Amino acid sequence: MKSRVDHSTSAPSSFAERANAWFWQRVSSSVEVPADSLGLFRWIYGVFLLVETPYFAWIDHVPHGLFNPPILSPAFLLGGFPASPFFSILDAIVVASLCLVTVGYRTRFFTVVLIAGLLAGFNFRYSFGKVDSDIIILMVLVCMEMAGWGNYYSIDVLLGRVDRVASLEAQHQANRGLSLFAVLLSFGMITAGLGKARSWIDFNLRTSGFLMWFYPQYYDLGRHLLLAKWVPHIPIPALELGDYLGPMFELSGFPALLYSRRTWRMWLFIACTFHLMNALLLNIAFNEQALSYLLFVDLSSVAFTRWQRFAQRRVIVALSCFVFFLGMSHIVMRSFGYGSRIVFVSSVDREQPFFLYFCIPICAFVLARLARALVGPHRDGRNRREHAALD
Amino acid sequence: MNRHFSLVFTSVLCVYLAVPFAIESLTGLLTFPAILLPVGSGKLSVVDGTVAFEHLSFRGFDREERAQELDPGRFFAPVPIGYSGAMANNALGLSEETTQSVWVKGARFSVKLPRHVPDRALRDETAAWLSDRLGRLGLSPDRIVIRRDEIVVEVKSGREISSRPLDERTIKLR
Repeated sequence: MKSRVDHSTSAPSSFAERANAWFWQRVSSSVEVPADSLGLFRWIYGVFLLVETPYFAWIDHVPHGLFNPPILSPAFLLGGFPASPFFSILDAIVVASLCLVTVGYRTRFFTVVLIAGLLAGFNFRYSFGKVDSDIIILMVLVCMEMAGWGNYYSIDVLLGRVDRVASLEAQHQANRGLSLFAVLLSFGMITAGLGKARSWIDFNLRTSGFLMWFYPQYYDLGRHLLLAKWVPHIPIPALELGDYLGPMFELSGFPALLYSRRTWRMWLFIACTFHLMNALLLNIAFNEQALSYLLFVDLSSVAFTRWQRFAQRRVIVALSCFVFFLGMSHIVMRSFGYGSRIVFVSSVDREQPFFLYFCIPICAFVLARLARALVGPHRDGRNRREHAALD
Repeated sequence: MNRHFSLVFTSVLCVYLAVPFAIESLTGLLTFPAILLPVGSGKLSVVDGTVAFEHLSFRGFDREERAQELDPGRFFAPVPIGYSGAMANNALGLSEETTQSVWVKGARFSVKLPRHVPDRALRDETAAWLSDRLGRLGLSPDRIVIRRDEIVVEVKSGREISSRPLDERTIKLR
């Protein structure tokens, strides 16, 4: 079987192979961060997912007559929801594997378990007739599985379970996962932007795409929070400008990615600002997506400057206790028929505002890290290896 | 050393990304799992400083037969409020339509595709669940109304100017 990764050292022969090599090399050079940064990202993303945890147990408590799956999905072939308590068990498996992935215990295995659990859970959740945009979580998990995000700052490392891979090999592995995620993210944004560009860029002040996102949801879903009440005061020309800038930004991911590392990070900065504006004005939170942009900044500087004072073992043990406390809170609440996606919130109908309130600090943190990466000294995986070689 | 993805991997990835996107662009059908982020390319017309849009609501009836608008977030909980529109399109799980029509963009025809229809026992269970929820609110457990109104709003102030019913569908639960 042909390998997923081309290990050949010889120059690509055909035009297609040369183009393929050029493409991935360009992507890789734009996204590269030190491999150990992904270990820190695993902690941050894991804790975030334990605060805002996918929730499926509620499907056990609603009538199965509401099953209306997308025709092009595996659930359609099954013909109905599995019998109770399938989703409560699935929830427990997802939460437990999420805790184990976060702390880095048998990370590769439990990341696969988590992906499988989320694939099943999401598919059944979308069987109420609407497909949400949680696919970003699966994209992160698949790409980080590939990138070896358990190779650093994990219990596997403390227990000596991670093979001591050469730093160059670990960096290649990280680059592949990051490159794939950047490509999936850029493509995903195109799928969102192309339809909007065709419809919204009409040079007509008598139409508004932004208001189509605003008013129906303001009335149907009660999205009145944060700055939503100020939207009517925005002048029409400004809304029209938003109609052009939104899809143009969504379509520009690939050019930014292929042009340079700096333009890619600038694009991510704009993307995060876009998510923040969406939360403030439209009350739509893309927390999973905004936080995933941290993959493209070097988080290891945080560990070098702040964590080095403490023994890594103690920090990991302390954080693991916190992670299991969050996980247990979800499992206990859900097993008693309460719970929601948000930790400690006992009912789904009360969870909506929390997504928005979390979105603001998440976006602020990601924007701060991206700004620092844009203006600060350039320190990627290659530099790190060069420093190591010099040492 | 060259350590990029192979050409075969890239080709398979392109097919995986492009096919669901093409299906969605041509028919509006969503595929799972696929890399598709929300489009929402609709737009409102601004006429004389106002916009008109459709508002979906659910209503029950009190003892005096007065319609009461339900809070969909609380009424359908634990089903997330975001699914209320899709559930309304499916007559709250009580639709008996065995097919769905899908228009293919650029073609002058629609395609009829099968859709899942719950059996009689499951439909009864769903109706009983809805009845029970209406009853707990002190409303008649016999029926629920899915209503769509056109709401006209002044753009400058956000003030509602008028509304008129577009469609009203009564679903008998008993």
